[in-house]
Amino acid sequence: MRDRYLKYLFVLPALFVVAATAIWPLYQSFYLSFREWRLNRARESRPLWDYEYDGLENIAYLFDNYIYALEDDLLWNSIRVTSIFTVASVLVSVGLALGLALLLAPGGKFRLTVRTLLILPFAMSPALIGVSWRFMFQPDFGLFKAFFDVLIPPLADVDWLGDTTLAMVALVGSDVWHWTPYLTLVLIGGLATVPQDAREAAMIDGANSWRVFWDVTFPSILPVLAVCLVLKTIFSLKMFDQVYMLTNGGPGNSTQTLAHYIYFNGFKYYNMGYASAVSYLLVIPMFGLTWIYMKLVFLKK
Amino acid sequence: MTSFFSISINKFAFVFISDAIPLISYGVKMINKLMLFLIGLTLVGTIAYAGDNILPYQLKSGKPYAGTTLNILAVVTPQFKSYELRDEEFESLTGIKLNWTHIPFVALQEKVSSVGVAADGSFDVVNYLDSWGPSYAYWLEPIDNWLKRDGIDMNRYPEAFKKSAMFKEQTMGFPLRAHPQLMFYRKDLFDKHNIQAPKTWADLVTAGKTIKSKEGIGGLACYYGSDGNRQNLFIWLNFLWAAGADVFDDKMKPAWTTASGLKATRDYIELHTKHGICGEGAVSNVEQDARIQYAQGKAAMIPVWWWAYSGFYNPNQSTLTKDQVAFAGMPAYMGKTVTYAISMPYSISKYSKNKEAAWEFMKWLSNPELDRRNAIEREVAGVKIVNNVVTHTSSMLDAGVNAANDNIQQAAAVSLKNSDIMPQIPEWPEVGDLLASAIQKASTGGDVDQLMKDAAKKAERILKRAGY
Repeated sequence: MRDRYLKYLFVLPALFVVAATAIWPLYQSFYLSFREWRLNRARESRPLWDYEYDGLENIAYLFDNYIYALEDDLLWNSIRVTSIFTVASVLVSVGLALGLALLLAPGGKFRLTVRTLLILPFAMSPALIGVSWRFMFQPDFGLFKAFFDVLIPPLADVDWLGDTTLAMVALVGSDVWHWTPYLTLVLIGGLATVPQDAREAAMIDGANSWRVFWDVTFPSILPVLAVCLVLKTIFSLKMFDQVYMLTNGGPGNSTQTLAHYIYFNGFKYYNMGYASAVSYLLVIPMFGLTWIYMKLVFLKK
Repeated sequence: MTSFFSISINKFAFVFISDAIPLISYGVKMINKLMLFLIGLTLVGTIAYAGDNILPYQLKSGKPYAGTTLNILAVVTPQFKSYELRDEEFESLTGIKLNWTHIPFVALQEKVSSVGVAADGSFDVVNYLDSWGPSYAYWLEPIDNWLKRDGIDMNRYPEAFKKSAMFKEQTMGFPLRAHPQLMFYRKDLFDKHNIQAPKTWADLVTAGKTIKSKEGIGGLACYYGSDGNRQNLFIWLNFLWAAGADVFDDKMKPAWTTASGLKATRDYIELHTKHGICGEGAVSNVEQDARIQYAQGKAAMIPVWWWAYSGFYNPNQSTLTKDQVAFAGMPAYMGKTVTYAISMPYSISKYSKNKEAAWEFMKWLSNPELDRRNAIEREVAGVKIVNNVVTHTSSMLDAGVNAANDNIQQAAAVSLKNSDIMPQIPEWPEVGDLLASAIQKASTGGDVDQLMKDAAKKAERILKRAGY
């Protein structure tokens, strides 16, 4: 009997931490999304709808932040930008990671050294990557200018961060550089679980490398690949650091992601009620993706 | 017996009186002298005592706040570092200790906001950008009553600086770091190609084209990048105001979409899109990038704040030498020069538990004499300091200050004659960012008129929601 309750006691500290750092902020931001609360007047917070003052017929006032959000062009722009960024960064980084994993999986001294070095980009802080890439794209002294000057002169004078499309390319590029190595390592781990005898049997039966990959390797690593896809999608959806440091959402709002938009509304314009409402629009897909991720991990087990 | 005694006494009395008269007279004289001495001593003592307590800068005598420690939050600048190095002077006058926290500008807004949210008086005095002021006004202490009590006149500052520290007719603080715009140019290149400092933006375009074609560097270091601090509006405002347009009308509706406002915006954008006089990266550059571009010899002109001057010839930051760098007033647009000015006021937090002591600090820190000295002295407490920023009109016209700083203050005074600041409303950061985004996008070749009209539409929505 004692043991039955003791196990809950052991879990309690962890539950407390989760409640304080995740559940409480989630509840509080949901509550705030129905209120007018400005950070610059932090001691004043009022409900958007007051039964006694507004009456039941005006209950729609309660959703004022959400209604305002749905009519906000800048919010829709940030959703569009986030979607483009997510699709591009997930496909490119996972695709590249898969290719690299196939190259590096067989082992060998050189490959092992490369694998070890691969972790370095992922170990870097995203904000630092943003700053570094901004320096590298600097049109007068940047590394890319020097590089293109020598190899592809027509690209040397391109203002990467000053063009709406190229700025997105630069942003995706920096994110791919950051994430691909980590995903590669995960996929190398996945490839190690592919049964060697099945591969050999297929080769004996006359299958070429492509058929072996497509019919044996790929189905075997599919669960790991799916985890990579979901995980990367979650991280891409909440992309903030590199946007802030590299493009700051520009030119115009062409690289303003949802997280960047929420940050500006909350911490630059002090409109926490509105920022909370918009955050919940991000919570919905995140919740769905997390659920899929959990399912996949559970399936894998 | 009785008669003997009476005779003796009388005789004695006579002798005594007759002998004593000169003594009494002498004694009276002595007493008079002594009294005079004592009165003199008292007067001297009083004067000496009073002299000890007639403190400069309207500071309170008697050190009533001795032992108090004030926490000051300020941006990182040599100007404020120099103030910190002079702490001992303030402490010896008032007995108040100072504890400074210097924050880089990039993180200042979040830090100051957190001070307001915490509402615990952890900082007694805060330093912030003027355009953030209206948002913070809720928790900043107006200083009008103190100003009146101590006879401090805010007219000692140029009008734009004075206005930058006000919100809704109340004075919220002192504009202790404030900047006028100046046009810096490469004197060596201008001399080489026989070009005069531009008096109009048309002159500037001509000069920029000449430099770009003959030297292969940018004519002008432009910064159209939108950085969250609305830096790409700095020069746009010169165009807008000089054209007779404004940001808002009297009813607080966006007014930049008038015919003159749109033309001014087009002309500003066309420096890059039509005339092509800007240096590399004009669209994505923010002010700092442009300063680096000029300092590294990649552009021949830059319109920027006066504080940048020393950095332009500092060998640690620049490839230029002092004789290569010159400055002039901002060029005129449509026959008129209107400049934009910016400031970083100091205010007392409403949550401070030491407001009176904080006011003593503010009086000391803002006094014109310190302002003046801070721009002349090149070493404070053994530390080398280079600062040309002053905020009082008297300092700008001061011969000593100008002599120490190549007369940049005189040029600044001229720049500030017809100068204004960004709108002082809490919603300005949001509205201003809409404009900043529109301008950056326009500089990529977008439709200027359409982008500015779209920004106006979005701004109207924000203002309407805010109750305007």
